[in-house]
Amino acid sequence: MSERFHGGSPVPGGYYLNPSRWAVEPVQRDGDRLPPGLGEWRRIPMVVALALVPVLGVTFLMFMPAAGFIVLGKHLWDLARRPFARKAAADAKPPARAEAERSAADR
Amino acid sequence: MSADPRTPAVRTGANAEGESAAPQIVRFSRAQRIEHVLVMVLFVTLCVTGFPQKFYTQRWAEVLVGAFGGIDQTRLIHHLAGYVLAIVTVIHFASALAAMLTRSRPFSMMPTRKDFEDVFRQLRHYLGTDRQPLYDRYTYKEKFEYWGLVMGNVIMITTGFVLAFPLQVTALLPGVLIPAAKMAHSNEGLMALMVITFWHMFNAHLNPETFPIDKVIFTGKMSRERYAHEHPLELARLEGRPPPSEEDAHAAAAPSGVAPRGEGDR
Repeated sequence: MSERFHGGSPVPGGYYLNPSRWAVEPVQRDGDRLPPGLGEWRRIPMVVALALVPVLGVTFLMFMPAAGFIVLGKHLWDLARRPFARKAAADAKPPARAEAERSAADR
Repeated sequence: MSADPRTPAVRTGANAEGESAAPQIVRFSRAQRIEHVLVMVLFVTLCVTGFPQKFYTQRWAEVLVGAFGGIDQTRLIHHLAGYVLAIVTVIHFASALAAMLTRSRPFSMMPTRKDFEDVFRQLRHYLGTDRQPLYDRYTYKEKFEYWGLVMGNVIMITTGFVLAFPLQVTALLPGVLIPAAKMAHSNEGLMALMVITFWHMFNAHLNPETFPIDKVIFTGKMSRERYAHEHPLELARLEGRPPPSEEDAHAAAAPSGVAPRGEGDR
């Protein structure tokens, strides 16, 4: 079980991973502080820290060219869904109108 | 990883008339600037001596080969430039590894979750549906270029050595590696040229925020004003302030959306 620390806290020298931010921070000396901000930091072995750097670098390299297509695909998907979303909204009766109709029927 | 000063490096300079100039921040060290110039010169040399060999049937290729004094000279220059690039790359890796082992610098070129999110956010900003993300020391574009160069160099240098020493390589490995290396070397080189021509040249020169040329990589300095616009998160850290809120950072940016240019940026 690795030790866990909050952002901004003083820690022993070593390498720290913030899983929620996918960030690795080296801490040179005992007592130096971790970067402030959200997420817990976990102390990790040096080998893991060094391996993570090229792995994330290459993953980012592979991901970047796809990003434009993902944004375009989502935009087209939203455009395609728009007429159906409008129809569904038009079909749905507003609660106030439905209540008024029920009251009229009761009378 | 590139040098990343932990302490503020804000300098106030003076122009030729002796007037006080805008505060400057040292963004790139001398070693980084020299490395960039070396890579730039080597890349151009490798392109002008390599592509005539790939497109040898073209008239322009004949002209270029003739200008270098024939195919043997062209190949010699290409090989020498390749060896120097290999040395530069090994020095860069050794320096980065030493920095990581001594924990002397943050892993500022390592992509984080924020970079993945920034890509989408920046694209949405270009489409007019979101705000521009606030950047730290390196933007996602700079990290993409860096890792592209790193991986491209690994491929080019490895396949280049396979092609330069085919007999030695095939004494140990299958012969099919030679045509595969030739294909990879040639096409990766073409892709690198495309990336540099369209992506890097646009970001460094044709981008409205940097047109006609971004001199920061040559002078090493950027105005504080521009730093606040382009790298507000790093600037806050350098100056010992908490990270600015999005509202503050965007309010500080120029109304036109164009980066304010200070002395020394151009």
